[in-house]
Order: sequence, then C-alpha cells, then structure tokens
Amino acid sequence: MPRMTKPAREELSPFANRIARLRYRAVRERLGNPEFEIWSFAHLSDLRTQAERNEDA
Amino acid sequence: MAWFLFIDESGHDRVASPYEVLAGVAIQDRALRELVGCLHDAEFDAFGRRYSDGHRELKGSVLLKRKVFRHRELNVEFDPADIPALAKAALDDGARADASMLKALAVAKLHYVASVFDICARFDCRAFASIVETDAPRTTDSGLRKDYAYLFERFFYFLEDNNVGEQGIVVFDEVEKSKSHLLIDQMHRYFAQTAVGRRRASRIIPEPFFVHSDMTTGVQIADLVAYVIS
Repeated sequence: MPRMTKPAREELSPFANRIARLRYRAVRERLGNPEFEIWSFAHLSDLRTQAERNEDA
Repeated sequence: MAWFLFIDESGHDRVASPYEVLAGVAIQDRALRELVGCLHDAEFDAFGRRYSDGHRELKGSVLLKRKVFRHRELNVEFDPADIPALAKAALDDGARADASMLKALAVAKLHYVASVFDICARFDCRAFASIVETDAPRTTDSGLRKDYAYLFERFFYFLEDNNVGEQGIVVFDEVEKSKSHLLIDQMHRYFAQTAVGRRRASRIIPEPFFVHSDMTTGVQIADLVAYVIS
C-alpha cells in the first residue's frame, strides 16, 4: 500500500505478494464517484472518533 | 450458506513490527472442510509429520522469524527430496538437530507458509486487514475500535457482492475473558445501536465466536496474514 512507508522485511515480500492476491476490491458510489474502489486492506493513521478530532483541533 | 471471517492481530506489542494489524480471512463454509484437509496435507508434505502436534503452534512469529531465514542460508547441501525427513528429525529431537536438519526445517517452514497462501487462493478465500500506524492517536471512546469497524465494513461489502442469502460469521482468537466480554459489548452496541452497524448486521451475525487459535486452522491463517503485513 502506498501509504505504508516504514521499512519492511524484504525477505517477507514473496509472502506479502501472495497475500495481496487474496485482497477483495469492492466498488461503491462515494463522493459522487460511482466507481470508487474500496480495497479490503485499510490503512489507519488516527483511531480517534470525528468528535474527538474536532475537540483536539 | 455463510462465510466465516477468522480474525487475529499482530504487532500490538509495538516491539518488532512497524504496524499494528488486525487481519481477517474469509472462508466459505462449504470450502472449509476440504481447505483444512489440504492444509494438513501441506503440513505433512513439508515437515514429514504434523508440525502442530503437541505444544507447537503454526504462528507467523515462529515460522517466519528472522532466525528461520538465517538457517535457510546455512552452508550445507542436501537432496531437496530429503527435506521432509530432515525437518521431521529436527522436530522430533531438536536438541540433536545438526546444520542439515536446521536448514531443512527452515526451508520446510517457508515452503509451508507459501503453500498456505496458495491453497487459500485456490479456495477463493479473501483477506481483510486494518493496518494501524503505531503512533496513531488513540480513542477514549467506548465504542467499537475503528480498526474493527473498518474490517467489518470491508467484510460487509464483500458479502453484499455475494449471494443474497449468505451471512458472515465472525470468529476471533480467544483472549482474556474480560477482553472478550468487552469486545462482545462493543460489537453489540455497534451492530444494534448505530445506523451503519444495523445495516451491516443484515449480513454479519452480530455475535462473534471465540476459539483457541492453536486448535483452529482459520485463525492460524489470519495470524500468518497479520504477521506478514505488520
């Protein structure tokens, strides 16, 4: 995933490639885009709720 | 008909892994029996015996740790056909294992893990994951953790794209009972008391099962997925 920028263990990449083949791609309408892709792997950089984020802003 | 979503996590000790990963593997109920049989055969083919007999667990932190890759590079030669027998000898009596046996065991471990993912692909299994930065700001909210919510969202979309009558059954690795209760409470609130959750409960059964990971093949696959991604 492009947003995963931390160094990875190179020796695990053949396994990561196999796992990548098992991902699922859903397509839904989002933000006016009828072909918005939603992959089964999600990257999260913030676990707070929207209300908590607004409070901390 | 149903799809099991076996779930496990890796990297939450924040010691060796750059990410915390909650991973799930979806396996269709009618494929489960044959898939488990194929994985047991793959285990026997690689190790010359069941690796997981006794106290050993087929975990990513054991099968894919750095030492395994170092042992694979040991400077000893053997006939590849002898790998299962050599690996078996190492497992049967680790104290007497020589360099050939250690190298064969390492090769067998890596071959087995590759086989697991190949077999999963053959049975049309699907992998799901929430990948969390270790420095991600945490929530103090008592609701369902966001990484779980994202995982259920993706699983729901997958189910929605499948046959109408197919339900999702969530299966977790059993943790401490108090943590399991907390998760059940959070899932109940999510699936019963939020609009998004109620919609997802139309396809995902809102009460999870808890199993022992060392005895449940599906959770072991989820552990391998989580370990590699983290």
